[in-house]
Amino acid sequence: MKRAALLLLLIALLGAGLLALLQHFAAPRIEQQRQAAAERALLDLLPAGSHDNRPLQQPIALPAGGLLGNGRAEQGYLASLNGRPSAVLLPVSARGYEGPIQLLVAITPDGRLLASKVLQQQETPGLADLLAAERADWLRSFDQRALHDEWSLRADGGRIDQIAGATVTSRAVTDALQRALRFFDAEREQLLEARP
Amino acid sequence: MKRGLQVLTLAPLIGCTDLLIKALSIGLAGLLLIPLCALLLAPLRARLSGNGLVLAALLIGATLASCAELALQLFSAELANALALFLPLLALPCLAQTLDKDSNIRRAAQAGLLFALTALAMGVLREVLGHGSLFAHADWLLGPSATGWHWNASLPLLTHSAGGFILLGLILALLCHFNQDDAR
Repeated sequence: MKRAALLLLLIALLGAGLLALLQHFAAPRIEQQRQAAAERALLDLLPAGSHDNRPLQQPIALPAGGLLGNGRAEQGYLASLNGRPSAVLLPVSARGYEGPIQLLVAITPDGRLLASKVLQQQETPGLADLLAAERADWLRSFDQRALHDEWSLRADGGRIDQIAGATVTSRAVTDALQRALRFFDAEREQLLEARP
Repeated sequence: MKRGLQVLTLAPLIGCTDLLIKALSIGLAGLLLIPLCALLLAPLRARLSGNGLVLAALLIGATLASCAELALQLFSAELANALALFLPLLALPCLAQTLDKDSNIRRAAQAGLLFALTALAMGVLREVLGHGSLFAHADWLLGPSATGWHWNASLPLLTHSAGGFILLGLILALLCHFNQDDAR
């Protein structure tokens, strides 16, 4: 009995050690892959033909904290068509039910939400998982909204459906979208300023 | 009983074979992982029994599944994300091996092959009939030059888990029909 317990302990330790080692060596490459995927995913917010520059080559430095609530300094991007700005991409963070939610928001020069998507989240799978198709549709329902439109959820007496069973997540997301629009309003000149 | 166990090990497939690229990845993971687990479990059988062996299999299975997850993250973040929920379920086939008294590496290799082939069949059928495409998102694994085929006709039921369940049932029924003495 004792021998069996020792053997099991040995297996557990070996397994944990192996995983820690692999994780240690793989981490940089994994982070690289994650970033590459995020970059690929970034640009599909913009409708085809809406920009002719390469937004990723012109990052706009955004400080941590503030209205966007990002944990660290992030980068926004400016998309332009024929030299005129067509959209600004802003990363924004929200505090979800299970952990931080990172969103990317595309805003038109006149302050409307063009599109938004979730970059990272840990919400409950099957219930509030924001990457599932149904929830992506819910997120899409906010497209074309501006700050002066209706934003409050039914749970808060408003007219917008929240995700069933995930009011905290819904509130966090709508709040983050509004913060991004407010940030854009406040920093409009700087964000849209022409760049060589 | 044994056949029932083998069927149970196919459970991870229901959730993640709606695209061929996902099915291929999890099939490949199962093909490697199931025999490897049997290989590691073989020397432990003499020293452990009963619950001890089950616990050992669980530890080994979980470790191997985590390794597979890490390896997948190395190749493609998108694919790893898509399979994140289902790779840990690969510990299930490893666990099933402990309940099978006369399990050996050859049988485990067969189980792995069965797992991979079922994944492939379900992946192809569900993507072709469900999404109306084939090899969509191949760029996740093969780089941006890889594109799949798309057309419009589709049966969305098959893209959901329920459709996967029905399809798996149909495939198993078909196998039983053509292989009646083996099926019991």
